[in-house]
Amino acid sequence: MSIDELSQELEHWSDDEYVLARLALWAGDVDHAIQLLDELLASRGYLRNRYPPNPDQDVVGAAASRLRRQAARLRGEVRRVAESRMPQISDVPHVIVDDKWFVRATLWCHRERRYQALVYLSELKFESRFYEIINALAGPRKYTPGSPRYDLPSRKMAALRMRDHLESISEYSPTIVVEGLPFIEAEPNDFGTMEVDLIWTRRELPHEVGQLERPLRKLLSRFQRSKSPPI
Amino acid sequence: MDVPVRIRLGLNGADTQLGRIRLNRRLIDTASQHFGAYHILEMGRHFDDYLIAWPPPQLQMYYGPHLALRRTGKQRAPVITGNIGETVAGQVFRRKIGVPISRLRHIYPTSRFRTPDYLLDCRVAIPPRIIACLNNPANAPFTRWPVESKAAATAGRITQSVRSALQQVASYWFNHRVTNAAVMGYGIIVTFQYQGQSPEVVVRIFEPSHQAILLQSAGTMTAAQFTAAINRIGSAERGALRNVN
Repeated sequence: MSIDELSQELEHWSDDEYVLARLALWAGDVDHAIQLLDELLASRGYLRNRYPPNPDQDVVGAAASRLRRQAARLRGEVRRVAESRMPQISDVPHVIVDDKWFVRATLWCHRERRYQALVYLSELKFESRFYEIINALAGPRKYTPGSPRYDLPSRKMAALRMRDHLESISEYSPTIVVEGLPFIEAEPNDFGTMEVDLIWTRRELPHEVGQLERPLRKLLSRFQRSKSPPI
Repeated sequence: MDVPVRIRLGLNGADTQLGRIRLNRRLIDTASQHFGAYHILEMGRHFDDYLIAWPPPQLQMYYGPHLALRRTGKQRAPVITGNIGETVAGQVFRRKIGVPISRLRHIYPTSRFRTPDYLLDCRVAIPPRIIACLNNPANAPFTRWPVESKAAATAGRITQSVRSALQQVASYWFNHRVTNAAVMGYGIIVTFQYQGQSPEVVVRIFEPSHQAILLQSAGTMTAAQFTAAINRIGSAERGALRNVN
């Protein structure tokens, strides 16, 4: 590729798959991350097992290439960790996905009665809708991405400093709570992701993943693409 | 800790206050999962331990002296402070400059080339808070801008860090002198000074005043000569950046 062609291409290449792959890796959705990175490398005409020809020019492409190799190495490790921690869930890491949603999730087991779903935005154009839905589902504490949730008048700030050190900031984060079995508490953050804690509140343990997945799917089904997607 | 955030053009332009940003263990834990280059478990605990020089009196009963004493015999690891810098910069972009997730690429470092910490994708739009800083916004290029982030304890260390960051940004300009000449002279450095009398975050926006001089020098110099010239006080190349000399 000539320099002129490269300059043209660089400006038009999409980096979205790279951003999404980073989110997928955060959630441990490694196979999906690798698929996204392969798409990015293929769209640039790079071979997935070779270093890009112009790494100093295409910084994102070079980062994607390195990330892809790293993710492939980690894939086996993630599987082993997941299998050792989730004996009752056979399909690991357990990915929860639906064609109608603009989020994906992975479900992880922390302890016998404590599970966590890592939810992330799977289509970047729905970022603002993601936070709109969170605000609709959350209680009185609202979240506005990009605007300072913690910007309070300095007098209040001083009063909060003590609590801050003691880690009670959750008071200022919007959380989504769903009562039932399991009890669900979801905490979104600034990065298009959400950590969802699921607590199994019965003495008898869950015997199949569906018992956890169904209530979670009900929550995630709110994150549906609207008929006219926001720009 | 709640930290004031300021934005300025170049190294010595006038400051615009962007309010304060609250940084704490929980926030750093979450943000570092997305933005730190290195895998560090419990970044929030490092943040507390590295940044809180001594707990305020009302908190000493919770902390006790052991945290500060334990650190006395050790140095702060540069990798950790680097991660803190990157994480804080990510937060500042999201909360103070209003950059959407889709426009901020945290660059996974490659072993062969030095890369910027972030690329800010301005191909569709340039964030209004950045535009507001520029002397000549009409010339601002709709392309990816390189971003460097640094964290250091004191104002003196921040000055050194900015020199190193500017060199890294200049290295990006040099590499793109042919394929993306429009980006020459445009970039961002975010610093987080975490100790001293007044901890602060400063966002420095770089804009060329004479882009042609920079392009000409990059065309005739080696990368090392060009980046050194950018950092040499009084050089023509440094003078071609607004509010830097």
